[in-house]
Amino acid sequence: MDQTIMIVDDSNAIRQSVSFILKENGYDTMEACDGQDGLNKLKDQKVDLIITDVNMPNKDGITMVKELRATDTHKFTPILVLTTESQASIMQEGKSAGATGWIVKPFSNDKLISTIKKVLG
Amino acid sequence: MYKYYDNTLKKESVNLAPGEFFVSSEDIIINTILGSCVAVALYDPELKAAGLNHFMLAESKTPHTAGSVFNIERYGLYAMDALINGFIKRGSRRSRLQAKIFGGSSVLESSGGKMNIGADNIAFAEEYLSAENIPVINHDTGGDRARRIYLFPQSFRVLLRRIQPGSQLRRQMDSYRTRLEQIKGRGGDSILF
Repeated sequence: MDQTIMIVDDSNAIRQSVSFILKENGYDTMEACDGQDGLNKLKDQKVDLIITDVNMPNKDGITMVKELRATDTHKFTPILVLTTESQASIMQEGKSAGATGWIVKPFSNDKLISTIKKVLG
Repeated sequence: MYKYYDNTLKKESVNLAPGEFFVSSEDIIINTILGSCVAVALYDPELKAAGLNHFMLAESKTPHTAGSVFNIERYGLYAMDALINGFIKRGSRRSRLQAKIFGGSSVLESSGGKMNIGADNIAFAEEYLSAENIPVINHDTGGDRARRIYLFPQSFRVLLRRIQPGSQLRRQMDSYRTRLEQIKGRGGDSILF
């Protein structure tokens, strides 16, 4: 069965781009347009991996990660942060919130897929 | 990027080089010189803040490109995403943003060897803004002359001067193209905690 990856980003263009790459590499995808939408859609939905942006309206990515880690469903779901942010302090916030890894944009297709494969094993 | 005092316009100014962006709600000027590159200016009327980027695509769209240009063009996506994040961090929302597009002339194409790069840059900016539902309220694009633009962030007013491309613009463009070639297919940095 294909693995399912949730993409959380407030940019239609980024979701479209990431979803295209993932589908080309055999993954199923789901999409959410901000942290709150992500929490709503992931409430009772198990996925294999979550990819999230940081700066989003309604709920930012790091707060979403914290809240997902407090749920039984996503306590251990791998979460990669995909963002333009590269400051050490924000990365530390992501790590403390429970993110599994961090990828800085602009990213190459190969880097994204190789990182996902490392995480999913 | 460097800051200076513009003696003619009597304001603090920020000059953007290719690949840079800046967002401000202050009474300053953000300016840049464009050849075949494109600059997208965004404005949030509620915050009275505007921002400007300056970019060109790292890839050329070809008839063989699958689907949207977003599927191959990470660098243009990054340039737009980084600019919009500058607004989101200030409490803005995409739904409030308005855009103006500048540049994309064919002025320097003969020295770069690639044709239609200005037109590709314009098409990317338009396609991106359309996908994000950000209205383009004005544009000055294409043609065969370089432009210098001055953005006033509080009012979203833009002054535009058409200029002849000088050797400085050519050097700037060549250096930017080299950087884009170097980053193509690379990155970004990733860390597993």
